[in-house]
Amino acid sequence: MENGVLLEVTDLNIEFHDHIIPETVVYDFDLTLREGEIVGLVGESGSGKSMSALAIAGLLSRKDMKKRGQIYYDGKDLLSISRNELRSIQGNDISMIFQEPLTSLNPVKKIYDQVEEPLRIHTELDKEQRYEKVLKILKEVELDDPEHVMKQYPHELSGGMRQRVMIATAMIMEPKILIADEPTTALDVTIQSQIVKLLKKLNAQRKTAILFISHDLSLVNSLCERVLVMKDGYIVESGPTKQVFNDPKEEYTKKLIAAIPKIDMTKVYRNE
Amino acid sequence: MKTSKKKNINFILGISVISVMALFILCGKILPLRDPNAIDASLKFASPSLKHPFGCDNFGREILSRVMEGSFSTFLIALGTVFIGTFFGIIIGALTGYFGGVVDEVLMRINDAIFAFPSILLALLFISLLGPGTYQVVIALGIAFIPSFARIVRGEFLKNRNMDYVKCAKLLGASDLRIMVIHILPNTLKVLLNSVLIGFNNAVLAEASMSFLGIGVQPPDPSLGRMLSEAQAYLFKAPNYALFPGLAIILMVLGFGLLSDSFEK
Ligand SMILES: Nc1ncnc2c1ncn2[C@@H]1O[C@H](COP(=O)(O)OP(=O)(O)OP(=O)(O)O)[C@@H](O)[C@H]1O
Ligand SMILES: [Mg+2]
Repeated sequence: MENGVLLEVTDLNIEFHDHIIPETVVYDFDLTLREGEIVGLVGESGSGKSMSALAIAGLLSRKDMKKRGQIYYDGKDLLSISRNELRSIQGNDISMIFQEPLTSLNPVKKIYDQVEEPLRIHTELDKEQRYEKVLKILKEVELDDPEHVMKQYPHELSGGMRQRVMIATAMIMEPKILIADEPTTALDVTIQSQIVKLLKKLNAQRKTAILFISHDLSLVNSLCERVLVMKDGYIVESGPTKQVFNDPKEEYTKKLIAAIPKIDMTKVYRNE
Repeated sequence: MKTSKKKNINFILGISVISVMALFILCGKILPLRDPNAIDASLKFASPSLKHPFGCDNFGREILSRVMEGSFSTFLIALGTVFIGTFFGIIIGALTGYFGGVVDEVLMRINDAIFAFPSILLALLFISLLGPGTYQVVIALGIAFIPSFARIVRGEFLKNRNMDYVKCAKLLGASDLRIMVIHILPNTLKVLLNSVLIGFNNAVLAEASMSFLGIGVQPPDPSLGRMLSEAQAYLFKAPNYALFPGLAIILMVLGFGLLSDSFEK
């Protein structure tokens, strides 16, 4: 594999088999993710962003779905390795966070147990070492009073805190790749920007590559070096963010960009 | 607010009734009372008195110590029954609910077939295979109780297995066993606790009915159901003979019933 390339997805097709008529939801998905870069994935609802991400994270059940193509990570095709091998990569090298942090957390487990879980699965560290690591990562995701937070249950935290906890859980093993599926959509604007800042910081400090999925094009514009645009299961356009945004080739991309809400001051004054 | 207050009252009442019963059983174990099986012809149908608080039965046996001992064995049988039912119910329910597919289809069809019979009838069937006796009753009732627990647990696992938090646990590399035991099971405890309490009630009643029919605890050992059935013949002559074992059954069922009510959502 060429230098610095972490993940190489080629010709990924995802077909559902849980209905009578098989339904393809992702066609010929290609993605190259290099060390330390942030790549954006945008597109309207139902375009297949989450499905592609879940496939990369190895979360799509092998029973109900047929996947074609390759997902190369570390010289291995994630689509064809054994479940055990896949498990040793999940949570360890590749992590994911979701839109709704409340449902992503186990309602009956304390925050400490949830953040500690990857250490229990992937390492042989003893109790004290695990505690140190959990405390360290909770500090790193900038939670106030981590010693208190770790004793709380998910429903006792605010949305922003929960998402920080999710990020802590995802980052505790220092994965090479973090997939963030609309991580800020459920949060209000100020919290959104804090979470984005945090992701940026982690990306800069740890060189974690991030696949950032979002509806919010202006966010993607400010965060990502490269961007992929999806529509109806196809990648319709991809390239450096600046280029795609300043000079979109596809009609669909133009529409998406045009849909970014802008505060047009002249209009505001005219309506007065 | 009002309902939660009512639940609190149920909880306190339930705990109190159970504590009284527990204390009662414990007294039977530690107080130097007459041997529950000791026969004394001179005490035949003795009425309740200071010396014999609950009176004596048709063989002159001490009803108080028999009710204590009977309550104890009823309690143990109910405990064993619920244990077998929950233990296997959890295993079957967890596997079928979590994995689904063919295993689920096959096991649940069998389950439904068993579930279609009233548990007491089913227990009778097993008794006819195993023969009467205390252990046999525990096994028979235990097996008869498995399907209902399995269904409850399966439903919970089915509900939980597609939840985001399970997805996240998978994503962290947790194995299926780990997900089932460490992640999903604690989420089913609330529902499980409730059905355990209800199951306990049903087991007390089922054991009493089986002993009443003469296929449970074997004479001369005391059992609440058996005492009731023996007392039938002397209902007018010695109403205290039927009254006290009946009261013990009612209190046990009431206590666990109140408790399960207080845990209901
Ligand atoms: N079980 C299923 N069987 C068939 N099709 C499905 C199934 N689950 C999802 N899909 C379809 O897959 C397509 C892609 O969904 P996906 O969740 O990837 O979209 P998305 O781009 O993430 O949308 P959003 O922005 O709303 O999150 C959708 O059209 C959806 O209807
Ligand atoms: Mg999505």
